[in-house]
Amino acid sequence: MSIRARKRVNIVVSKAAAYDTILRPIITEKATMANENGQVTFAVAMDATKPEIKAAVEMLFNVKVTAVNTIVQKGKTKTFRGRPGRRSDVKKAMVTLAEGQNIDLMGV
Amino acid sequence: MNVSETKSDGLLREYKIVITADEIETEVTKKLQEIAATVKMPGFRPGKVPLSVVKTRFGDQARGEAIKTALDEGARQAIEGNDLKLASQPKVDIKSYEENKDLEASLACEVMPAITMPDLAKLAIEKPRIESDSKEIDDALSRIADENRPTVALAKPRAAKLGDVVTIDFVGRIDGEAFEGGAAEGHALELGSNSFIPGFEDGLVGAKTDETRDVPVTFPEEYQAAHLAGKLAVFEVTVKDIQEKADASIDDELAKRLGFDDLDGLKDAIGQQINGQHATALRQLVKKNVLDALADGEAFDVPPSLFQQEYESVARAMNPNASEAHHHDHDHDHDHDHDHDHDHDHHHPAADEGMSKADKDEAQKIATRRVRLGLLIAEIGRVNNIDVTEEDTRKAVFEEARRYPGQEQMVLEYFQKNPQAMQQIAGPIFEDKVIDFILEMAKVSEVVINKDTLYQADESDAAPAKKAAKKSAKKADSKTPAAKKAAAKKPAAKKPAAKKAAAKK
Repeated sequence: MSIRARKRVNIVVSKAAAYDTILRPIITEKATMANENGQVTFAVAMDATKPEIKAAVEMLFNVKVTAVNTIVQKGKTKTFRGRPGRRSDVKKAMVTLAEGQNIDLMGV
Repeated sequence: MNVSETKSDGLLREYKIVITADEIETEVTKKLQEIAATVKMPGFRPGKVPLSVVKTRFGDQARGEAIKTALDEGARQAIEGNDLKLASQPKVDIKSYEENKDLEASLACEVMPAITMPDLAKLAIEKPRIESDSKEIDDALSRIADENRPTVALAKPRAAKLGDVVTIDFVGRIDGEAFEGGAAEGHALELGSNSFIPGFEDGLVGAKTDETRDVPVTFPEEYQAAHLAGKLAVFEVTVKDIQEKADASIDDELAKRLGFDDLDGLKDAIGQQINGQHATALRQLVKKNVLDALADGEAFDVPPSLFQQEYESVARAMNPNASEAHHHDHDHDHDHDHDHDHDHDHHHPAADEGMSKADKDEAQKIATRRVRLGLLIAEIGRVNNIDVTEEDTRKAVFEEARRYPGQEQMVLEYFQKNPQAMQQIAGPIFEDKVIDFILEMAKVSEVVINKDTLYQADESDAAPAKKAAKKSAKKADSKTPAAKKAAAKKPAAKKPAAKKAAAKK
């Protein structure tokens, strides 16, 4: 794939779309630790892109986002009543906030 | 934490407890740390949950608990710091509290009055005693003899008269038809004993041996067999034998017929029975004397809540207008020794409703006395380490069981399953022990009284004393239960029956 400059687009999302993008906060030991460095973790929609996530978080929580990292965590295969099944995948987004800003995840 | 007294009125005390915000905060943090160490949350290994997370989740709960602990601690300080002996549950009210501000609470309670221990050794107590009265035994004996006169054959044949025992065959007929139960053979009937329908026995007076008579009798209207009641029946009676009653003689012969070895044996038995009766009554009287002596001692204030409780029960007992739902007996004026703790569960409108002022005063006096005596007895017991041992309780339980012949097993089981009932029974025991103790200590002078005064006194005021042990309940929290009442009442109620029993032997 050739390297080409990405065009910066300002993505504007409606409030409803923002709520659809950001599903829920992820509160775990790891996430809590990251939180101390100004990173918050969310479960987001599978089809959400980083710019969308950034726009949604900035709008919903009224903060400045400096970076978004995402990961798709594949669902585990589980056997249920002898039949193999698969849990659904989850897209997680680690959102880095601007210095000094924070989101109270518990309140979400 | 700051505790200050705001009111000290008689036995009432009020304290203001101030707990600073900092104190609450540290308490909350402590609680949170406790929770963090143990709580299980998804996404976290046990014990690794950060405090901040715990706080958002359990903060409110921890705060509530922290405040409660702080208040308890404050109340404890107020009570211990001022050396209070509580007579009632302290009431703690939170007056104002906002987060991050000092908490203010008030604590109201009643304290036990300072009881000055009466000098037991100085108490003069009359201990009534009854001289064993041989006349009483003789009376009983002659009564027994009279009821058990042997019958002897007539010295020479004569007509039957009242008092004789005739042996008869009879057939009763109504309108010429023999009816069921109207016939018998060889029946021994004492003339004048009124064991048959009226007129029957009279009809046989004057009959001779082997004579056959028709005795017309009308069944009384209220005869138990409805189909016979009010009917005229003719009994054909054949007199087989006539015997007369011998003179009442008190001798070994009589004793033997009653199942004793000889006359002395019989006398002993009667004596024991009589003594047994007297013993209970005497005990009752001594107890009353002891309590009287105690009551005469120094008067101290009575905690209002205890008094109120007592007053209500007394008033209810005296007041015919008040609800009769409780199993109160009204046979004695104030013979209500059972505790009425339950009165608090379902309140009736004013127990003294409609009572005259004099009655109210009377009830107040009784209630005060009871509470005071109860406290005093409890105090004496406490100071002198009088305790109800398990053995005592067990004995009492067996005693109780014996009062229900045939159901002993059930009674025992009941007590085993209900520790509360067990405690109830402990109340009177405690009281008894204290009384015994006082009797040991005090100057006891024996007074000989006669039987009549004993029972008179017994009846008139066995009661007020009763209540005493009840608040010894402090210890056992026992009620003075029905058991006690029964114990108290028994001697009085049982007496006539007991005498009869003696006579029957």
